[in-house]
Amino acid sequence: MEYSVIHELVHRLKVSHAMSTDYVTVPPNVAMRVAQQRMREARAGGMPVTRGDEMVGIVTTEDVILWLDGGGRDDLVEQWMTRDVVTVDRRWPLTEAMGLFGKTGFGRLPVLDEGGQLCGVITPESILKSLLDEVSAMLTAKDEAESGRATMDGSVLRIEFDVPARDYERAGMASVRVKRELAARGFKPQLQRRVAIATHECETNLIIHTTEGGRIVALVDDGSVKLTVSDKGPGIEDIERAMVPGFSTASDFVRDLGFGAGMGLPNIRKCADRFEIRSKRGSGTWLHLEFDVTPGDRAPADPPSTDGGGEEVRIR
Amino acid sequence: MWWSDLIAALHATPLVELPDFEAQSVAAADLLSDILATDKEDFVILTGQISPQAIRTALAVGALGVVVVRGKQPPQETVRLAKSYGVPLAVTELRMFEACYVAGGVLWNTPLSTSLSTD
Ligand SMILES: Nc1ncnc2c1ncn2[C@@H]1O[C@H](COP(=O)(O)OP(=O)(O)OP(=O)(O)O)[C@@H](O)[C@H]1O
Ligand SMILES: [Mg+2]
Repeated sequence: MEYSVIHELVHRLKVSHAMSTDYVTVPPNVAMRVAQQRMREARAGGMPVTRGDEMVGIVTTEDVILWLDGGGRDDLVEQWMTRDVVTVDRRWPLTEAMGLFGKTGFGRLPVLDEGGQLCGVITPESILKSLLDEVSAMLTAKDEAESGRATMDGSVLRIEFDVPARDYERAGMASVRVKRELAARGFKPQLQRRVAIATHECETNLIIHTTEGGRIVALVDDGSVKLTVSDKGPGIEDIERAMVPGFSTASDFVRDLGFGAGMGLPNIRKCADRFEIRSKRGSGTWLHLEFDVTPGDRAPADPPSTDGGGEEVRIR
Repeated sequence: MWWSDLIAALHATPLVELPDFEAQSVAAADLLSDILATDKEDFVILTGQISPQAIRTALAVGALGVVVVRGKQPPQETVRLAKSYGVPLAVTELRMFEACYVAGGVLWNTPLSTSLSTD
């Protein structure tokens, strides 16, 4: 992983992204034994000490060791806790918290919200976990972005997808990609939605119903979006029947995965301005869809957002 | 209806948290094509589907958030996708019918009995 990616992440991510909200606390007026037990059970190296909503200190393994060393059996938490707690604000960038870990050598820092109330605990482990999550999210998004091949043919954008049969996990990838491209070109959400839904349904049909998968070719220009979807079989026995809402030949297994409502083809037809389907049992199925782009479907030439300040790849 | 109110009413555990937002409607279905066939705008999804496709379906229709019912835990990949695409995701123990009932209460502001159980 490039240094710059992590560097960018720890500046962009906030403490709230990396903190754990699932932490244990202890009141100040209970025995140290209770604190010791709670820490052991939660496998926590320390806990905020709270009275009601208010944090009054922190007690850590170190305090427990000192207390054990002193043999002080019946002491209360408030006698051993640290009152002067170093905290972080949940709105701070991660770098700030990481800096504090380095400076103090502490293993955990309580996190406060805007109102100064305890709302989480951050540890080096929770930071590492959030970074790993974020990096894998970035990789997933990249994977999807690269699921198709995009080329420019004059002013026409052509995106091509090979959709393998029975690769259920990847259902929707082409749709996400097409939608992203439309969004980047300033097409309005309403049109994005129609195209994305149709693409999604075409894609799932290739995954569920074909023997060898198939291909989706999307052509995008200022005036229209066109989709051509083709496969090599098995073909549709009775197209009219297949177009009836609710008609499906999907197996129970496929239905368990969330497909097979029999709504795909009717919905594709509804979304597209022009819809053509040809199919022959034994040789395959071919669909052609066109979506008209009216001037109102496009926002005034807005370049794809590259401000870098965005939190995530928001494409709806 | 605020997302946060819905989540609270459903006793749902948020898996992907984003700034709160308002939704006008709910689409509830286990089959993704049923969700893709909705005409609703500004809606959230209630579904039993936990696969990554559920998130891509939400993206395709522009749903604002996804609540998984019946306490099913979405796999890492689903959570990851939701996070990277900015789709708020939460899980409730309630079953579909109960979840719809509760969501309806939040949406239409009708008084509800609070004694729904999950078993
Ligand atoms: N590419 C294809 N090759 C072969 N058969 C197909 C193809 N596409 C659709 N079909 C047939 O047409 C039927 C109806 O398709 P449709 O997309 O409307 O519903 P579905 O795919 O079964 O369910 P859903 O789309 O709601 O998940 C399918 O069940 C299948 O029998
Ligand atoms: Mg289908």
